[in-house]
Amino acid sequence: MSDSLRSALEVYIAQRAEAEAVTFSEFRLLSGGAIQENWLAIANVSSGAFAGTLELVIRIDSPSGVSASHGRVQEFALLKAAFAAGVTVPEPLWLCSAAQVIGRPFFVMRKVGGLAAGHAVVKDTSLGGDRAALTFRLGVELARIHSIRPPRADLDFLPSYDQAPALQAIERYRAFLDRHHSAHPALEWGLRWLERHAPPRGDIVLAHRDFRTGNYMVDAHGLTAILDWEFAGWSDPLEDIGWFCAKCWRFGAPQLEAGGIGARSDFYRGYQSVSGRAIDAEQVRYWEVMAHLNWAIIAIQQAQRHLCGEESSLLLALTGHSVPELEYEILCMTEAT
Amino acid sequence: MRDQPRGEDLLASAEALLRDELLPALPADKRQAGLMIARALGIAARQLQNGEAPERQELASLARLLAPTSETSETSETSETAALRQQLQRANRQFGQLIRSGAADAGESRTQVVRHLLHIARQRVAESNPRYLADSSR
Repeated sequence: MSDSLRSALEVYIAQRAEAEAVTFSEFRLLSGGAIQENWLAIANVSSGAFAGTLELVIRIDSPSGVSASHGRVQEFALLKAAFAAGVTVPEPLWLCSAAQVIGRPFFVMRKVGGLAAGHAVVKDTSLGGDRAALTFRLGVELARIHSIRPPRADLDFLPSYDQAPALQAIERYRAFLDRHHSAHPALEWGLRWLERHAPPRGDIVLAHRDFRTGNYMVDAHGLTAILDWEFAGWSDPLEDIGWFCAKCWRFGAPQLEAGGIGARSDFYRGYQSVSGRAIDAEQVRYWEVMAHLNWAIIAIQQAQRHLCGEESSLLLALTGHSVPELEYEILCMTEAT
Repeated sequence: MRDQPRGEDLLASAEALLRDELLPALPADKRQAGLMIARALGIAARQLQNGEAPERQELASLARLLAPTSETSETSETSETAALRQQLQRANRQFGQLIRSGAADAGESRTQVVRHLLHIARQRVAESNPRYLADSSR
């Protein structure tokens, strides 16, 4: 399987790189999950514009992912848009949406080095270079993502809606809670508070929707890539800022309000240096409540995957037990208003 | 009658041994797994220790809050755990609807609802992650 996949990919890359021949000196599976596989390929390119050694990551839809057959196609479009907007992402090179080559859609991007694990990034200050500079830089990156605005023909697969983004999120979370077997009155309280204080629909931008420590890579010098684009969608720009700064994403360093790595002011300054827009602190606080709500819902879903036998895992089981502290935080943030 | 020490004591001792002697000896790539097991043992021990008391109190508190429309009048008589959970489930669903409808937005009902929610949340965090309460010093 791996051999036929390997030779099919060598032929495909030679064709796309307009080279006489491409051979992989290394080809191995980095990670495989329910949604996609990641393969590392060190390609020796004989001629053409890419002649030399190319370090690549090839992302392939999982064999089982029938309904997810658009996954890689959409992700490639998002990476292309982000790369063009100046966001630090692995450069997307070629997309193959046809089934003829290896039987499943895949795309090829340049490999980027670095480490993403949230706890390690927060704890090990030898990573990521100067922390104030890294925090500022992440603000810059986020503002570049938010420079992508609808309408965009290349991103027309992202659902559009006329509601205020906050109200749309509330509707989604309530629909989930209504289907779920257990009631969560504290989350209902949080949702009611969010409904009563919801900001009107303003600027709509491309929101990453999982922009937090743990989802970007750093090496010893600084940022190397913004990762995990699968939740991206049109939303209020403050949704991402609230998610990044929320207390639940500081990995044991609550005093560092920007993702457990730096000062909020550095992050905001970085963001404003590109967007030119001032950040309304009170509105960010609203989106931090939303972030806790969102994470609580995801944590319930993770625990459910363990409970229903889809994926037996102590990590997923324990994630369910972080719901009480998220609920407690939501109550503390909203009890006075 | 079962022999002593009881389940919660066994779990607490197992957690202590794991934290004091095994975790420091684990290779770095297994440390996270060790920590997860310690955390799971701790949660299970605290749940056993508390037994059904918190859930019975929660149901009683909900019955008071939902009094006018309540279907949960015989709370203290419930003997079976499964029945207790079922009642609690139903009462919490009703309570959630009440909050969603806006009936607890203001006034005395708001005060009571917030007090109940905070009490229950604190109780659950005390089982799931007691250090969180100490750290946030509320």
